[in-house]
Amino acid sequence: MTQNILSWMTFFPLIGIAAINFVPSRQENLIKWIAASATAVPLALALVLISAFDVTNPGPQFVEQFQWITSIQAEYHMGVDGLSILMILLTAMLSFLCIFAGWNVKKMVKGYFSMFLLLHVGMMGLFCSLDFFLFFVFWELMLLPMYFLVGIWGGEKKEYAAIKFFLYTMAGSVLMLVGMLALFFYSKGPNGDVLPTFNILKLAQIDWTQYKIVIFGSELPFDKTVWWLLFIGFAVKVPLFPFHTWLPWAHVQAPTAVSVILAGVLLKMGTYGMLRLNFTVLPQATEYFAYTMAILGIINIIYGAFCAMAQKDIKKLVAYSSVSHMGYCILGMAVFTPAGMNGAMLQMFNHGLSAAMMFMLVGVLYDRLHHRYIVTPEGKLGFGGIAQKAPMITAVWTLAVFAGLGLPGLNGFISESMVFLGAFPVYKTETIVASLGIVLGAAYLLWMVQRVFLGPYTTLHKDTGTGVMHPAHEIPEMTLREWVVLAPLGILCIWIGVYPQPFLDFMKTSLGSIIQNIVQ
Amino acid sequence: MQSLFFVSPALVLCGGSLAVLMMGLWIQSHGAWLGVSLASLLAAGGLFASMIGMPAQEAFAGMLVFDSFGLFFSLFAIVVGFFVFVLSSKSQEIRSDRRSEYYSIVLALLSGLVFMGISNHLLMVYLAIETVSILSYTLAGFNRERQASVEASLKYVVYGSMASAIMVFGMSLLYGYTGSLEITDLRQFFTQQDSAQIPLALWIGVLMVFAGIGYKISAAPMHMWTPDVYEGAPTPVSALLSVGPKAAGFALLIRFFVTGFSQPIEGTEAISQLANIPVGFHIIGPFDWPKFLLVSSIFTMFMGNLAALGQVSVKRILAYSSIAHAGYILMGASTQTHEGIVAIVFYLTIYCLMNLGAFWVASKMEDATGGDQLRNFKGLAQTQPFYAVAMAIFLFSLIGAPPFAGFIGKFYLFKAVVARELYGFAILAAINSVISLYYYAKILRAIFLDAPEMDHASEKAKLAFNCGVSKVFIALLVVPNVILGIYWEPVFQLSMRVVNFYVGGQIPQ
Repeated sequence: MTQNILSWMTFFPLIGIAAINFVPSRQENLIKWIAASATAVPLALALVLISAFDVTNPGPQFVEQFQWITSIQAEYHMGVDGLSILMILLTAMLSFLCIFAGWNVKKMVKGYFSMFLLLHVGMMGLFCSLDFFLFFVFWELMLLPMYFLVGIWGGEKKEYAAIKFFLYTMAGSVLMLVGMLALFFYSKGPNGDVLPTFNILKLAQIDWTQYKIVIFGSELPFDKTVWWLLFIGFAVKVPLFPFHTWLPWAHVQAPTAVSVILAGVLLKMGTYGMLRLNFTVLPQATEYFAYTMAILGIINIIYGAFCAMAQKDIKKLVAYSSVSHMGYCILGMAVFTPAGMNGAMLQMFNHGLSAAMMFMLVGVLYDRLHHRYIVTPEGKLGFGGIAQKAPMITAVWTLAVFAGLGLPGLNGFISESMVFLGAFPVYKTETIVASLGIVLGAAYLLWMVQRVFLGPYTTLHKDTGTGVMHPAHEIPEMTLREWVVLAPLGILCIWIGVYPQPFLDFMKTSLGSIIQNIVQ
Repeated sequence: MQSLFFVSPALVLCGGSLAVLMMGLWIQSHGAWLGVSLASLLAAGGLFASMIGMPAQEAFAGMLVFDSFGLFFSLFAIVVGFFVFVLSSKSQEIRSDRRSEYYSIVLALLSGLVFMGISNHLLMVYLAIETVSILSYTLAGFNRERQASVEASLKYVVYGSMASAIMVFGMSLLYGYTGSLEITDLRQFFTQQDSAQIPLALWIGVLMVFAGIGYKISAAPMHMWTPDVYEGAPTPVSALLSVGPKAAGFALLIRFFVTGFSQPIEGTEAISQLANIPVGFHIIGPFDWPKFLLVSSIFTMFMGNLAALGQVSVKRILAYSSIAHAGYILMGASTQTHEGIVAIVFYLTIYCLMNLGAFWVASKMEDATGGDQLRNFKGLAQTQPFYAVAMAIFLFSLIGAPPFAGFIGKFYLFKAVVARELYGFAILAAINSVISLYYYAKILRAIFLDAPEMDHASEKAKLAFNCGVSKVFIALLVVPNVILGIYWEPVFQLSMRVVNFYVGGQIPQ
């Protein structure tokens, strides 16, 4: 098992899917527990992986490699390095916790957990694969379960949200497919004497600047064109402005557990893909477009923050805060300084924690009050003074909010300040503008806390049958299940806030070698 | 004698066809009709299978050729025929008292498909296409009580005869200039002349033949008949028309161009001993054939995909989708490479699996709810999860999303296009893939996301859905759609091997 640890981790949930479909639909609890154990095993393996990971080695570890399809030299090539190790931990952990966050699913329980486990396969496989073809297959594999998870188990506008997500991601990924094929063919070398390959490590050793590419008669530099083909595919997923409009829909309409996975893992795939492919394979083009990336990142930070501030739906607010927070990752990545890159990578992990917490907490409120209006369509406060009735919910919410907005002592502060530290020497004015995002972040998050949890008690409860809002008398406190889901995330937020070094150690060697490649 | 052996499978099919027709007069037994039909299919398939591995040669003095390419498409027609027979036998759209005629017509049509794959003479080509066309008109109008069916048939006749007329005219031009109708002779003529010396009228003739074949594969702008016919015809017939004549049409198109008008590109050697067409070849002509084929492929794609967006009938959506797929496949033909043709063969194999499956589910819905509109499909996931999941897999495969076979098929087509550095076209085709997603998702949405609107539990519906044979055959189609998405090497190797043409004794090096 230790030899094929990555395969086990990736494909174990398939066994869970098979098991689930042999259980009669009535036994919902059994189905849920099977799903939980099917994600617990990858989590345990991820922890084994973390403990056995050699932080001084910049290259891939736990490699599994064999020829998969010989006619196109596609390999089954899995491996873990500093870029992916934290993402794998995040995926395994959030997936396991999200099984519990989705515990009260009523409709088609079998289908829900099957789709969830399939999503798990896609996510884990993506972070492990070192072959572009394999990477692409896993990338697309996630579309199918996501479409159904949002479309069947989502909110009122689920159909629209699902198809929008599907179309956007597909549009990005077909461009990526063309870029992938271009890389494949040019990897034959100038004389065509090398076997073409999808192996990302081999692709990274080729000097792409020597080639030209012709599109509709105009000759363009190969590496820069392909860079954009890949970049747009990833930018849709991040999501970068102007490709972000699917996100508020998908996040808001998805069921809680799926929103958590979306914000916690799926958005990171965009930035991870950029690091894995754009940065590693096309370093010269990455350097060339660094400023563009930085500007896009800053637009995300500021624009996302303003959008968040204007929202009346608490889930939409959290969704836009993700747009803003992913902007920090892009900014940090675009500067190629150790501090910036490490900060960006840590921000990916941190946002995975804090956004996941916030989405779960939105779910906690929604389960109790059946609405998400900070301000109702009639203009009244939808929540208000929750702290008086449910101090524990308020406390955990506040922790998540402060982790998100970057209060010193919590995780967000470390990564955001590293990003700014890294970015300032490179782009001075731009960084100052971007730092406005911190203020705006504090503004929309604290304003939300004030309207929802503080002040006089005005919380409304929406009757699910009639849709009428009336004052809520009681708000039950956090249940044990909710504690189980939220506590590990909260603890990690504090841990990284106080002592981030172990986490930084994982990535710094690999990131160091990427920076070296680009700066050279 | 040897020649007779080569056409024996087709003769068996014709014999079966006549036998079933005669039986209809005296023996009123559905089982017997079906039994004889399937037996003649199996016999024909067996005879073809016994020819595997025989050296490529011509028969009947160059009227027909037997090479692995023709053999593959002959077997392809037989396999498609087998599935269509089982589907038809379970469909309630075909009146039981007319089934003997129906089976007889389908068998005859299959023999036409076989001839389309192996003709080497334009006269044979014309006869084969006409056999298939005329029988298709009858099949499309088989429910003569239904107005839509009659309308479909009439439309088909009008378009079809127009297309044949154009094609025959083109052939007469070719004959007038070259003095021969044999495709391999045309090759001699074209490769030995300076292409600047060849009169323009000849190329117009070639173009006209292309139009005739384009009508069979429903390439735009010869596609207009497709949606009406697929919608109006009984669903098993639509299933047959969407894969059988289409695949045979592509086989013919490729043979016509590759063995008739191509010249190997200097400096490219044959890819292997098995494949005697070179890695890259060049279609002779005064104008840019690849551009022409590419533009027609992109046009076909956009036509099919954009028109499908607003449809509410699932059969109509599948009809437009089949037009769009013809566009994707034409893209492979435009590359003028061995790789592109292999990609076409591979894609057609996969396309047959997914399209037959989708039509099979549509046929069940038609039987169960009396219609094929999107609202008939609503809530299928709750009432009939088996059919819902199967349909989802076929649709995802048609979309071209991993890990299903359709993605792999499309991948090879894209690969062939990108290998020729046609990036712009690859991106246009990629955009088309995204557009197509929307209308496939409309079906998915009806099945999975919406609540049932029609009664899926009526007596009629129960009868249609609780059909063991259909379930087994749908499962038989689902399994390769999944497996080939994960490991497809053997099938791809097979496609590589069958792309091997008889070109009249001389093998271009």
